[in-house]
Amino acid sequence: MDITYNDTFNVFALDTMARTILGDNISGVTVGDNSRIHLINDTVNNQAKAQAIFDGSGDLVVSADKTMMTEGDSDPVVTCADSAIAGDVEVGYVALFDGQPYADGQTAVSGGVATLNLIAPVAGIYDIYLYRLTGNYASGSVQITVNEV
Amino acid sequence: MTDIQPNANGKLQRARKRLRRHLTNLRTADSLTAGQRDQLFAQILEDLTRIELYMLGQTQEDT
Repeated sequence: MDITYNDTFNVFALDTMARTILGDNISGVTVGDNSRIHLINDTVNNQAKAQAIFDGSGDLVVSADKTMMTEGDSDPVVTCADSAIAGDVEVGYVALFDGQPYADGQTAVSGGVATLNLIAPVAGIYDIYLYRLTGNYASGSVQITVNEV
Repeated sequence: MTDIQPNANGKLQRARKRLRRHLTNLRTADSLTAGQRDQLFAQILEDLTRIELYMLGQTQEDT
C-alpha cells in the first residue's frame, strides 16, 4: 500500500526518515509530484505514521548560526528549539551534501533544544533535516552554503 | 551537542568534490610552475586514492 502526498521531497531525506520511523514496514519511497511511502505492512498505525511524516514536513523550525560561510570558518551550529520537541528525548537528523547522503543519526534533546555541529565542511551546499521520532513526526531543515576559500 | 561527521558516502562525496576542484584548478590555471604542477598532481593522486579506498569500503582518515 502506498501513502501518497502531493509534494516533492529529497529522496534520501525522506527514505532515511521513513526507514528510521517505520523500519522494515516499508519497501522504500518514491519522490515526485506525488511522493509515496511504500508500506509493506500497512497496519492502521503504520499508515498513520507514514501520513504524519508527510503532513509534518516543514513543521519544525530549524536554524543555523550561519547559513553562508567560507571553508575554514568556525563550524556552523544547527539548532532546533521548536516547542514541539520540548518533551522529546531524542530527534533524528539527516545531512545532505550537494543533495547526496552525508550523515544521519540521532541527537539528544536537552532543555528542549537539539544542537548539531557540522564539522569542518568543505565547499558545497548542506541541507540539515531534523525530525521527531515520536508524536507527530514533524520535521524541518536548514540549508548552509559553504564557499571555497 | 552532536557532531555531524560524514559517513562513508559523505567521505566519498567530499573526496569527489576535492578532486573536481583540483582538476578545475589544473584546467583553468593560466600558467603553473613545475612545482605547482607537481603539487596539483600529487593532490589529484591523493584524491583518487581516497576515492578508491572509500569505494572499497576501507577506512582512511578524512581531512
